Amino acid sequence: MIILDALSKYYPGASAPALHEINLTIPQGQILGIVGRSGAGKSTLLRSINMLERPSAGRVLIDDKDLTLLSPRQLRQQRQQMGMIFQHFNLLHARNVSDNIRLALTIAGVPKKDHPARIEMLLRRVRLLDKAHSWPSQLSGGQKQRVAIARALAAEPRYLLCDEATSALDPETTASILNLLLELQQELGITVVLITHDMAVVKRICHSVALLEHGRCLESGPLAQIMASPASSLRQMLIDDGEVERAFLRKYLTGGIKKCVA
Amino acid sequence: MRGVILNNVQALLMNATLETIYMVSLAAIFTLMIGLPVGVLLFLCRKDGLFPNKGIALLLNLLVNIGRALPFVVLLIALIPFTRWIVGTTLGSTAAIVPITLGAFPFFARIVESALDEVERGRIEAVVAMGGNSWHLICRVLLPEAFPALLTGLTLTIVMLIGFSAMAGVIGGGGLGDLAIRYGYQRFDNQIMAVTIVILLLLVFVVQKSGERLVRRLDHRR
Repeated sequence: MIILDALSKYYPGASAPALHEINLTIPQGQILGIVGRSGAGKSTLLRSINMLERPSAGRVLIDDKDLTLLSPRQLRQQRQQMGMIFQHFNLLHARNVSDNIRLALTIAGVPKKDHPARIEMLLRRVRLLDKAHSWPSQLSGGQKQRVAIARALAAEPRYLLCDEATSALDPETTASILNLLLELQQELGITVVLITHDMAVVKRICHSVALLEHGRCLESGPLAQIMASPASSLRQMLIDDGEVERAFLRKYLTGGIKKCVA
Repeated sequence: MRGVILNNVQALLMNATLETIYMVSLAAIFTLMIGLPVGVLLFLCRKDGLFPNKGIALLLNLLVNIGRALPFVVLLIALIPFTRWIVGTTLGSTAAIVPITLGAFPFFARIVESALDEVERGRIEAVVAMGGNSWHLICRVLLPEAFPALLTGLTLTIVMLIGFSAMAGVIGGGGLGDLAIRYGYQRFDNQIMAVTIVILLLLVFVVQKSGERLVRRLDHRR
């Protein structure tokens, strides 16, 4: 479980805080979507969860451990529990696919003799076994993101942070990556926090959603609850989204709400 | 008689070429050994670096800037006492390696710094997010990712070292530069001068081409 407790971030010299007293609870095994316009603080919030961005105030509690209090060494240990994927994949281009994953295994302290089997298992999970010896520059965007996911899963993390993970991908590839995330959540029980500006992503895989604006959390809650409150602006955003899915609306507007609560 | 002279000239040129290669190779190794860590530290310690450290950054920048600002000929002469202290003599190829290295490493350090700067921040960040320590970041990410740029920079530096080694002829450093000064300049021997030029050009050409080829073979960025 991830608990953000009055999390704030001020950049020196900035007139407004990047994050202002954010309170959020993310239950184990759920997918939370953080939405908002660019500059709303989504990325800062996500990066605060694994301390890539040090919060100015407040706490980040992961399984009751306050990350803001950890020593650098403990923090590195904790980060292995939290995979992260990025909009631009950030694979190392001097290493092939296997070796990209191998680095994550090395960092996690997995014994060398277990590497081949683990790499094979991870590549099988993201369905890229045939690309084990390809270079990142030879892969498509979707394939790169799959490698990045395999790499993020190498240390068998309980959490996965996704920083606009599908924003650089076409709709079809986006769908396949989202399916993969959903699969990881369902089969491995991984808790996923993703940020996106795409409401379709939220509708497709998120259990709960939080709306950020000017560094404040305006609204948050399970998707079903949000769809059930007519005054909610998040609900409006979800409905107004360009790709309104009839099935989705039917699901939430005709009394099926209870069933959809994850 | 004529054959003997020709052989003497051949031996002279051969010797000078080998001396130049000796100076440049050793100077290149020392430049790499000093310049690489200095360049890495320059990159790591700067204000927006991975391990900001004002003191070290200031000191190294001062050192590198002084080294880069001084014309090499001046450095060559200014370092004579230092060379004597290290090598025991100021004449010959071995002695010349000292000023050549000290003149070249600041340049190479700057190249290393800018090569590391070219590595996308996101890639470094991804490894930080994995829980990588500074060893992983420097040796498993920064240096390998910057490797093609580092190799290009090293090629550039070696070509510069060939130039420096020729200039070391001014203080009797041996090698092709020395030959050109003694025969071409002081004895007006145009033939030896011409051959010296050709050999120098060949050396530069070979270094540049092999560098480029190696980079192309090892670069997986494209």
